[in-house]
Amino acid sequence: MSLEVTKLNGGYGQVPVLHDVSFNVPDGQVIGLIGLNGAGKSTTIKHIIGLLQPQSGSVTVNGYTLATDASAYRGSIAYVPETPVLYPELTLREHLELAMMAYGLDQDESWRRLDRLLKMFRLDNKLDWFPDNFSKGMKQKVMIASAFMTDASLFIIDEPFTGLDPVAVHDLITLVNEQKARGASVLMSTHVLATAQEYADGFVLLRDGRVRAEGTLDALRSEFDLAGASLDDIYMAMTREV
Amino acid sequence: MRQLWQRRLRRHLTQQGRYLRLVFNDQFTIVLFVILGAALYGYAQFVRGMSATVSGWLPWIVVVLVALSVRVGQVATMFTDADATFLLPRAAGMGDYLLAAMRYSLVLPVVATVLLCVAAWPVLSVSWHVGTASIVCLAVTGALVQYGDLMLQTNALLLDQPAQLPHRVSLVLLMGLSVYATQFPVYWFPVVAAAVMDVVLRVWLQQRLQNGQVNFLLAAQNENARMQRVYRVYSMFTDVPGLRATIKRRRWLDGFLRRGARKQARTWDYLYLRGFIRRPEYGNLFIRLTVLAVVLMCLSTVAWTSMAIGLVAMYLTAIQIVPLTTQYREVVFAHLYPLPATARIAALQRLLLCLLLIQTLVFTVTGWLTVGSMAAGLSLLAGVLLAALVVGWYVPRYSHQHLQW
Repeated sequence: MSLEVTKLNGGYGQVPVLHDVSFNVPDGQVIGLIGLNGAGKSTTIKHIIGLLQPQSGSVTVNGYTLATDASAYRGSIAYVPETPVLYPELTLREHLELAMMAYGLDQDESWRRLDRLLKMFRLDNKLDWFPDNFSKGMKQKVMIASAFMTDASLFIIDEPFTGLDPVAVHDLITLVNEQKARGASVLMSTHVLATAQEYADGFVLLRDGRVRAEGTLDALRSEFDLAGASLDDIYMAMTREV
Repeated sequence: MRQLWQRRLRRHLTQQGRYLRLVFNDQFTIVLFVILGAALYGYAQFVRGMSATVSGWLPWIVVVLVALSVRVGQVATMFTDADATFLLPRAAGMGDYLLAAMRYSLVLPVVATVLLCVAAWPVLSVSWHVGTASIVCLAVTGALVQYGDLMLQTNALLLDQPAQLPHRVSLVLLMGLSVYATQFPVYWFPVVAAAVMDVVLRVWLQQRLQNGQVNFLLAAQNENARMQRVYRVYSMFTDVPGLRATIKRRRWLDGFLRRGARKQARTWDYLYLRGFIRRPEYGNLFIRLTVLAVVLMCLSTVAWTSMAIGLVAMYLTAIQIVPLTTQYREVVFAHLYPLPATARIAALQRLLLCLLLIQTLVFTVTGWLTVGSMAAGLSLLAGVLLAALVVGWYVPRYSHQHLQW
């Protein structure tokens, strides 16, 4: 079991945003993290990657917590943020080298994987450019390439489709499926419900900082008593609840 | 529009006051006084001991410096990008606003030019036997020429303008000639010429402002660039929100950067080295401080003064470079790397030690060449001690205070 979130209570400072959030992302599965703006998706992700400290509860990745083994914990996670974050002073090549060094990856093996990723995203002829000058979509591709060149056991992808052209969306889904087949876990926060419904194995629906529902699409249909409903219908039903 | 200017000026002065209080904090003010004192003492010693050869060419350096000081002044318009939309209907009625901006902008360059003329007086007095009246006329000419330059800059903010560069270059030449003229009985002539020029320019500008329309896009662009320069100075002392990072590629150093093993334990070294080289607020600052200290040390004839100048330069280098530790706080990945917390501190210690030892070596050699072995020995000993203190005590203390673990 790659990711286990157990009774997580947390937020910003003393202001609680998450209330008893519990869910799992098993090995070899893609779980969609769904919710309205302000539901707590990004806050949950920040707690998982260790940017925020839980007020109570626990987050375990591959059996590790930040408290028991911070290095192993962080080394198990590859993160693709919603907004691309880059170092203005590094070229694309240097960004990738830095990630290899930080995660202790073999340089030759990593460049071999990157060769395919960079060609896929049409970044192979831009290695000596500053990614800070790229378009938003290109920056997002840099984030994806940096994450998917690793051997992480948990991939956390926050709103990955924003800014990507349709070809890149297709390529990202291909990469996610490859990691899934390798046995990695993928937690994907997204508002693109049609895509999530097609490719995710299960869903966690957040509302007002709590897990409203969790499980496969069939389980959600049962929970909301909406036989044959799409994920979009279930989402709308959740928002209409009092 | 006058009310708009006054509102913006009040807001601007409040903001600048906040930053200036942070810049001129206790530490920096003390250091500034020490540097000023050392510089004045060194300058006085230098002028007293100036040889005939130096007296031959140094005044020409002064001519060039004073002439170029004309370019210091810039019109502070407080225009923003949004003005191109919201003030566009008033593009033709901004005369009062621009004249108020021009008057406000006159203070700093005039003060700077007058101070420069006063600072040049000892050299000109010894080399060209320039008297008090000549220097006063030179200072007045400087103020009038700055006014003329600002009028040209104000005019340049209007639409459909021809290139202003030839006119501004003429002012630089006028200023240079004014310095040269201080040694002759006609030292008063540049004052008269500058005054007449200003009267003509002022009348012409008034007509242009009545009929012309402001080029808001250009004006906002100039103002943004001006404020970015100001903020870069403030950023040496405090965080400045909205300051855009200026990155210099420095391709010629790629060969040097490609060296070194790519090991996990050297991750932060990899990042900090590139940050130091490519961010002017670190790399350029290091070079400027080192060069400035070398120049001041060359003017010094006393061993302990020479050592003190070097130490001050090293101290300023250290306090400006240590914030590199927190440079990447906003980059989420800097918090996610599976690296021990101490790796970041250790990397900065290695970089800073290297830089301070380079400065120690440069100042030791400079001290030896300009004063003698005593100055060299003092610089070497003091430099090594300061480097050890900064790296061993200050860097860990700063890092623990400013980094969240």
